[in-house]
Amino acid sequence: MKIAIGCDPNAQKEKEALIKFIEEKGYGEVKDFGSEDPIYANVAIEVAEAVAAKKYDRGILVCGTGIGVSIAANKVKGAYAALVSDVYSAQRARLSNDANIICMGAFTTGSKEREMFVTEFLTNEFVPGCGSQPKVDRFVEYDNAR
Amino acid sequence: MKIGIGNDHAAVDMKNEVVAYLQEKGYEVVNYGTDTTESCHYPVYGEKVGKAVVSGEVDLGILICGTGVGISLAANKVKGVRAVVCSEPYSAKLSRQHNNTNVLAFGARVVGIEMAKMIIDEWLNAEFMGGRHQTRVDMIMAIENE
Repeated sequence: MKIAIGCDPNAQKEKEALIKFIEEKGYGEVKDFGSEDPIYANVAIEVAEAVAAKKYDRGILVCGTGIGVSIAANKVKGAYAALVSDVYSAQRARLSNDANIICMGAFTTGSKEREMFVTEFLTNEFVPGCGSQPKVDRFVEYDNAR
Repeated sequence: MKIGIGNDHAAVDMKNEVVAYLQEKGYEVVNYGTDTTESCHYPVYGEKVGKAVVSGEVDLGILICGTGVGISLAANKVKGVRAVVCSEPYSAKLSRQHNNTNVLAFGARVVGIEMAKMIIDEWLNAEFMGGRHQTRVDMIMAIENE
């Protein structure tokens, strides 16, 4: 699995810890899109475009609360970014919503929590044709018609 | 108001940030925790802060370890301590209003620093409501005195 990751300067340490965690667990190959830009929308759009273009299977974004990067990422056609602060939602982001990007807050969540979110997000697969399919289809259809 | 703070090796950075935050808010803070990241035993610090609260050396106690769980269990062994572990502010507030908690614990690996500050604010700003809650707290203390 190819994973794109990015953050703003508020979350550099937290992002680096996640890269190390993902590599140690062998979840996939990680490409770091940087941490330097305080205009968090830049890295969020870059990661979201790379994921939407299917150059990467999943994206991970971190800022202070995760809110800004998730709003910015969701502006990109084909990007479906879920902001999570609990592990159940991280799992459902894949199983119910087929999200391809997960967003988290460095100021709001702890390091071990973030590792659990990432594990759920990277190890669960959306089941095509499942009960959530028509719901996902509706927002994909809207997105594609724009 | 005087606050006693305790922590293990997992929470040195967060402790330092919390101490600075409390001091900025005008609280007097007594540090009972470890100041190095060398592995240590959290019950030592749970007990120290618990005893300081019960003896009146400090008014309230704050404890931080990896999850907040172990250090709170240790503090709760001290007669007179009512310690709560929180990962969100609502329970922190209610734990004072209804349960008259005198020690707050949380996890440095579970909550982010800004979440920790909100948990602390809600906990410190809430007041015990007494009345029917006093009856229930008295029942808890009766178990301890059996």
